Amino acid sequence: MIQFDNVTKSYAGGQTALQNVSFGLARGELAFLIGHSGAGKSTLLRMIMPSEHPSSGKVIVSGHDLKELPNRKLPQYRRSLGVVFQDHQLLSDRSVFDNVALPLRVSGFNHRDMGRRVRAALDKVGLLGKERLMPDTLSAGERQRVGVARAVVNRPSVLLADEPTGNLDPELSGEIMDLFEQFSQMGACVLIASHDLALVARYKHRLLSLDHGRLLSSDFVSGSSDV
Amino acid sequence: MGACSVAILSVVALMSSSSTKRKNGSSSQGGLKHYLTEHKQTAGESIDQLWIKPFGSLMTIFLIGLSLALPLALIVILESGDKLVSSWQGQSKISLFLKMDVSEQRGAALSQNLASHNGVRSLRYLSKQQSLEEFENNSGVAVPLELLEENPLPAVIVVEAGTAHPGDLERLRDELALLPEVEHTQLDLLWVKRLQAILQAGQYLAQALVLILALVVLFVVMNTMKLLIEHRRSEIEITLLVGGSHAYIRRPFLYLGLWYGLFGGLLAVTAVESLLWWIEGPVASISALYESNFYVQSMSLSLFFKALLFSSLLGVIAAWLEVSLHLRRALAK
Repeated sequence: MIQFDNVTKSYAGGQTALQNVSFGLARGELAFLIGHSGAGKSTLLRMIMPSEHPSSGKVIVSGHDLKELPNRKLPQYRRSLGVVFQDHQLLSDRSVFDNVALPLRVSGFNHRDMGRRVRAALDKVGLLGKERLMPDTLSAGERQRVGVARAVVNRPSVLLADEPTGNLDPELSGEIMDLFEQFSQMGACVLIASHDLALVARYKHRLLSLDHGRLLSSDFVSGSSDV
Repeated sequence: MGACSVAILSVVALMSSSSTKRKNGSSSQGGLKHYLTEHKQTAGESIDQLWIKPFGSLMTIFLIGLSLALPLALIVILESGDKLVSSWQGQSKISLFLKMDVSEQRGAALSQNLASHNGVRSLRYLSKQQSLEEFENNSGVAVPLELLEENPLPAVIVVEAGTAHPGDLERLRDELALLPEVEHTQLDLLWVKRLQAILQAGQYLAQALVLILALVVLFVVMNTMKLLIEHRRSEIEITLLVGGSHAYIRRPFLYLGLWYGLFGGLLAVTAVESLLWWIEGPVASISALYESNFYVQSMSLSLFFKALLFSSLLGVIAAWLEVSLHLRRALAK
């Protein structure tokens, strides 16, 4: 589903964000991306979106070599992704409903289906009934959950999340992670960048460990709910 | 107005058409209904956008209106002048002064022959005596025939030509001048030609003004769009990341450009009509002093719609250009 082949990303200033990173994730796989700040986690996620391209190597997602993907096919590809951003990236002048409905609206869903899917997504993140509220009136945790609802509302085949539980309490973090696990069990490929090693350890997953742009390991880890 | 609106909205729809496939097996009719609903919603939302920064929107509309009002006023005045020249040309007359030795019978017979000429619409024969009477009536001076041995005025045939074109009139004048009975012909077209040349120069000036001020309008709307894009930069980025096509991103801006252009055009039309109303009285007074039937006419319906269509298209094109430039820059990053 997601394939990185010797991917290197260097910037004009000589800084290297990723060095010869290679790994593969299959359909239905749940993977966590860990590493210190500046290890290259966000760069790696941006290459899948893709808002950046590798300096060398290949990123192949759902059979698409992203560097070769023509601009006109980019929107269609992005509709197959769900992305949870660390800083929510919500539209402050739109209601919760409109924020969550955005991926459906750009995909051309009709209003009836849009309403049904938005309410289902909000129900999953525990925000049903808050459709009409504006993001500024929500707590940081609620905003993050709106971001999660927006990411999953389109039932994406690939779900990316950059520190999705950073603003959530442990209980809610667990619920959101359970949601991501459910998505992977339904066949989606889920890749989550996270600092929360204790939370990560609760799930069966692939662990991609990055350090200064190098992939140190990509091992399979059995989860333990006791952690 | 209906045809104009349909034309403009079709352009917006074409420029913002998306290759989005309709989901959930909706029929093509349902897809079209949804597509139209989306456009209606975007059009409504973009009108609301105008009121978010009312002063800025009013300034943009004001600038567009003023920029378009100047060439539009010139075009309307030139149209009035053109109609005046045409009406004068329609009244163009050729006076044929007959030789003094042409008898009254020959003169009358000649006028009868000329009446069947293709280029002649109507004519009037004035004998020597009638010419004298007309001269005395028009000048108010009695000719002292007792001091003169004979009437010095020739018989005249006043021909009203069937054509209004100066070239055709000159050809007819030259043809009639060759008649053996004719001593001299008179066709006073020089001043009409001069006026026509001035009007033609005015038309070129109006075209140049339209071009220059259209560019001004383009830059004004593009600059406004640039500010709006900056204001909505994060929204555009998020929409692109969740799979929004360029057409989808462009659509609200195209509608905004349409509203700017349309309201700017309406302002220009209103300003020009107000100007015409303002100068109508003084122009009529001057016209009366010259015994002319010239008057400044109101803008024609066709020009009204053309002006609105033109200004609306300018707004849409400017928005399309600016958003496309922004998206190209975003892709290049």
